[in-house]
Amino acid sequence: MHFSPVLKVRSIEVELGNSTILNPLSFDLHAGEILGIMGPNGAGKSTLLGALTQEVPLRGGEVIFHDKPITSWSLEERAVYLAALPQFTHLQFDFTPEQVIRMGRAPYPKSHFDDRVIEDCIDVCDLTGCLSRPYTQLSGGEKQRCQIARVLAQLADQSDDLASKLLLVDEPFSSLDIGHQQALISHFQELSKKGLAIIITLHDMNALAQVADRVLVLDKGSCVGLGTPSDIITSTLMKTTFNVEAHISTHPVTGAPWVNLL
Amino acid sequence: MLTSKSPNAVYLILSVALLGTGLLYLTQGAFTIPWKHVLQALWTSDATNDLSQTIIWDIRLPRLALASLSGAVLGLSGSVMQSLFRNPLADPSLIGVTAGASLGASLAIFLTSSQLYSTQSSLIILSGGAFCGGLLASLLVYLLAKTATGFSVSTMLLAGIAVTAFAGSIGNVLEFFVDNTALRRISLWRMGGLDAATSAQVTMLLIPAAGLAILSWRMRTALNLMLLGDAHARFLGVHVMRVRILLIIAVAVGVSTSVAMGGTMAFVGLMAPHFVRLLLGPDNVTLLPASALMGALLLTASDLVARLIIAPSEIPAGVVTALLGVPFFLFLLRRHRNAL
Repeated sequence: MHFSPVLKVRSIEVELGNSTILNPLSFDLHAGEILGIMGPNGAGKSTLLGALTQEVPLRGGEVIFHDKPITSWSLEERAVYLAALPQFTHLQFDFTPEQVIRMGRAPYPKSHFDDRVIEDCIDVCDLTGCLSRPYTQLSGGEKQRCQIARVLAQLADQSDDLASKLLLVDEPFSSLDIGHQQALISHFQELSKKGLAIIITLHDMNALAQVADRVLVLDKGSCVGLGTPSDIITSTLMKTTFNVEAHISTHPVTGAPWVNLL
Repeated sequence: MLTSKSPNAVYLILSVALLGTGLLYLTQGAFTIPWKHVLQALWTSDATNDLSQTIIWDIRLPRLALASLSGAVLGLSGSVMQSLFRNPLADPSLIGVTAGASLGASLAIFLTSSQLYSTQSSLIILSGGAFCGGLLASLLVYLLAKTATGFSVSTMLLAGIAVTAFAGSIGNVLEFFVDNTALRRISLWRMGGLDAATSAQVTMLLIPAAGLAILSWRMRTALNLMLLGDAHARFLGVHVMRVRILLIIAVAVGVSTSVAMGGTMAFVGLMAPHFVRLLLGPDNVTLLPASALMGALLLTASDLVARLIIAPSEIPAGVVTALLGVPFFLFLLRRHRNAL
């Protein structure tokens, strides 16, 4: 574990028009850590990811990426260390899935390593059967896996040490079937063991509890909980934040909290 | 449809087709010149008083060069625009560049019609007017469509329609105020005329054409990445706004000059990239050069038809491209109706 956090978030705030979208929020993220973000619709999850990457202007606060304000990173340099996948991608042109994944290697000079990376990512995201169809003719889930493969390709490093890299993914599993979701959760965990820091938003709380080391709960633009899944995911939180009655048990194998809706 | 065709083969076929059409273009016309004489005339450029030689060097060759260069600029502009706006239906005429340039050229004719200028200066005045009109239209559409966080593609296309309509009506009003000579010259552009092309016009278009070609080629990867979305492209290291502004200006200059020199050639920018995508797929690395070739081929062939169909008289090439382009546009509209 590295001593200095990959990402330091210092009381960032977002305002759109006159309404506050995100109240002052601070947290650190270390190498190899997976931070899960959850919250009801419109809580500000995507805004938070946008604020971390300068896609959404900040009213106040600061985001420090590797001891340097994220604002002073050049886009070209940032692309090598930080990959992000927004919730929606509207690609209307008939690229092949392989061409789409290869776009992830754009920040790097061309090399033979690219081909190996692309092959690996095709494998991990189980896209072998989709390669003969253009992107526009893939199903929603296949498109999503193709985009995940693209950001994974962007982060791949010849040294296999990912401790300086950061991945931000917004609802990456929204169209995936349970088999592909599980496979990718295990892969994300493997990557985090190699040092990759990940911030992920998910609606599926059980998947989030399984994958995340820490959970950040947003409600109406404010952080209402930040801690380990078992500390944060409680029946009280389920009631106050999501307005559902739930019984929280423990997963018999992983030990993670398990949400049973009542 | 997945593409496995070799780009080099496609470049070769397009180049051969362009050369063949070019040779046919030089032999055919109101006065037919056997191709042997054409080759002879091309080989010996010294000006003898031979009639075929004069026709080829002074009339057909400049016109052929202007048609293919205009076509290349339009084809290239179309593929750049379609990538910039992430819309396969985008075309320089759709975002108002053509209409703005046309109005700018008309205004330039109107404002200078009372004075006499040398051919060279009147070309510069014309291009200047067209460029101002084209760039003004692009900037207006751009500013309308720009939002706090990015850029609205649908607003841009709608604003382009509004600018086109506005420029069209100003042009109509203008027709009431100009004298007959100017009116005739203005209406020739609007229909798209390549007749009376000179080598001076070709030279004039060569510079913006080269600028557009170099700039878009340098940004070919960025154009691909921007198809994913603005944020997606930024995450991959692309300075999206810089690329977009530079290319919008380059397209405005290229298209405006082409309009000033040869008139409005509708739909070449829409058709050329589409035909190429069917052969090579959407990758800008192959799309850009092949679209330029395809655009040149389309416009040269259209102008050949325009010159021959009612020979010894002729119709404007823009009429031929529109006759080809409108059904094609409607076909695309139907094919993409779910994505609109």
